[in-house]
Formats: sequence, structure tokens, C-alpha cells
Amino acid sequence: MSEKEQACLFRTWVGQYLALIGRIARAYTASEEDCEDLVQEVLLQVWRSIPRFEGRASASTWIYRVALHTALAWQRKDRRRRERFLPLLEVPAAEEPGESNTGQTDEIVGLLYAAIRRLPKADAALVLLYLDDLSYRDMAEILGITESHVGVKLNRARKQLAELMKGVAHELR
Amino acid sequence: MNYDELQQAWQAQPSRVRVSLDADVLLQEVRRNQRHFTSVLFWRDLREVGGSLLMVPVWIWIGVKEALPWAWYLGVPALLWIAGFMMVDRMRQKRRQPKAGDPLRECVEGSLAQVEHQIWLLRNVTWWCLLPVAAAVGTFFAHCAWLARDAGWLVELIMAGITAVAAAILWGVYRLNQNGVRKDLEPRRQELVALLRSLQSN
Repeated sequence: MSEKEQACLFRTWVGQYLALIGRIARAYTASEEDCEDLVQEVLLQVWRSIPRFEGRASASTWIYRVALHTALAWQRKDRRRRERFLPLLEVPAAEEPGESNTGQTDEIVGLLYAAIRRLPKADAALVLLYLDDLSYRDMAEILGITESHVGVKLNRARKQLAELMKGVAHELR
Repeated sequence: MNYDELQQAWQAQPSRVRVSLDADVLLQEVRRNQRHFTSVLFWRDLREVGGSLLMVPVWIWIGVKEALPWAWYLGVPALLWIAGFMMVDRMRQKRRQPKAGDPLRECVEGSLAQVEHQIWLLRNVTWWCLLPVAAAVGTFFAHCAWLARDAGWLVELIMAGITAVAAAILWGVYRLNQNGVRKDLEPRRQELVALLRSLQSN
């Protein structure tokens, strides 16, 4: 793949999947600064991984894999090496659940993020894919496990999420 | 609230991330970031492998200049062995690196294998790094002590002092490596094992 093609694909993917990357980053970080940093790291990994993209998986599956792998491997101390670069992104401060003026949806989303952050990392990945309404097949392809395994794990993770949501909501009120 | 409503609320959330630069500048920055990352890796490799290789001519030069006994030159194969070992290991590990676009379980398995290899490398630093150096340096000091056996107790004492300092440095390097395993690598390994287990368990 030429660098021109790589650049073209990168621009397209950033346009299409930045929101998805942002959601994953927000779910795996506690502050806006960390979130911004993780998004930046995912973009770097996407850029580096493009030459290996052969189109066998769909672009969205590929992006999910890169973003989740980067999020799971990301450590706060990694930020030192990225601090010297221009800020590429803006992640406005997240409203805490209950503070929102824009309705119930924001509150639910805030509670969801708070609950997801308390899940084990692999379960959090599964719940994120579920909330984005991916099929079992896609989830299995992204995570590298069987579809039946996805079903079993997702059932358990959803129950855990519901419990955590109750707990988080209770703590915040 | 049921799961469908949670999904709806989730999908209705606006994107919170905005690119603060135009697409071309973003691309330039990512490329610059990538170049920086590559150069960091290159300099790290050069520092570790090149450092040992660079020591070889320095070692020989000191030996010739100071007309040191033959045992001094045992340091040369020791340094070449360390450089060669690190170079081969680095090349083998580069091929095994997990690829970001692979399924998550494979990525985690790859990362775990890498961390376990790092732990193995540091736990065994005595065998592939410290022992060859210690053997070469120890033989040299023993040889010098033998040559100076008639020079009196003060020279013997100085030789013993230098040997003790060399041993303390090697011990310090060993401890530093073991601390790295305990503080950084072992927690990371446990985290990855837990992650892999949670992906595998039914």
C-alpha cells in the first residue's frame, strides 16, 4: 500500500470512526486528559496498522480491534512520550450523571460509563460492543472467541452491568 | 429500564471527541508521532546493542595502550556475546509482536508472551549478561593479583577493593533488573493473565 493510499484511508476512517474510538476511550479512562491521550494513541495505532489491513475483516471490525487492544494495553505512564505533540483532539469535560440539563439520555449514558469502568476489562469490551448493537458474529470476530462463548459471557456481563448501574445511581443520589 | 433502552440511549449520545486540527495537519502530526516512536525504538536498540559493540574497540584500545595482561581481552568475547544475544533476541521478539488488528484474544496472548519473555530475560540476566562480564573481569583481577603476588599486602588490598567494587556494581545491576520485574512486569503479567482468563472462561 502506498503512503498516499494509507493517508487517504486514514482520513476516511478518522471521519467515520472517531466517535466510536471516543466512546471506547472514554469507557477505559477516568479523566478527559487521559481520554484525549488514549484517542491519540488509538489514532497512531490505526495509522501504523493500516498497511496490514487486507480487507478480510470489515473496516469497523478492524477499528474495534485496534481501539480495544490499544485501550487494554494503555497505561497512564505511556503519556510521557506523547506529551510533546500538538493536541490533536478536544474532549469536552464529561458531565457527571445527575448534573445534566439535556435530559434523561445524558444521565443514562453517564451512568453507563461509570458502570462500564467498574467492569473487568474484557467484560467492558463485550458490553461496549453490545451497546453499539453489534451481532454475536461481529463480537466473536473482534474478541477472537466463539459465538456461543459470546452469548454466555454477554448474559453474565449484562447482569453485572445492571447491578452496577443500580449501585452507581444509588451512590450518586 | 430494560437493555434495549440502554442501547438506544447509548447510541443516541453525541460524539464527544472533535478533531482540533484539519485533516492534513492531523495526518502530519500522526506521521510525526510515528517517526518519533520509530526513532525512540531505534535509539533504544542502538543504545543497548551498540553500547556493547562500541565497548569492544574501547576495551582493546585500553588493553593495548596500558599493555594489560591477556586476561583483559576475555572481556571482548563477553561483550560480543552480550551484543549478539540481545540482537538475536530483539529480532526474534520483533517477529512475535502482537498486531493491533488481530482479534483481541490473540493480541492479549501475544502481549502476555512478550511480557513473560521480558520477565524471563531479566530474571536470567545473570546468565546471559552479568556472568560473562563477571567471569571476564574476575579472571582479569585474579590474574593481576597473581602477577602482583610479590608486591606486598597493600597492592593485594587494592586489588581486593577493586574486585569488591566491581562485584557491588554487578549486584546493583542485578537488583535493578529484579526490581523492574517486581514493580512493572509482574503486575502487568498478572493483569494480562486475568484478562486472558476472562476472555477464555465460560
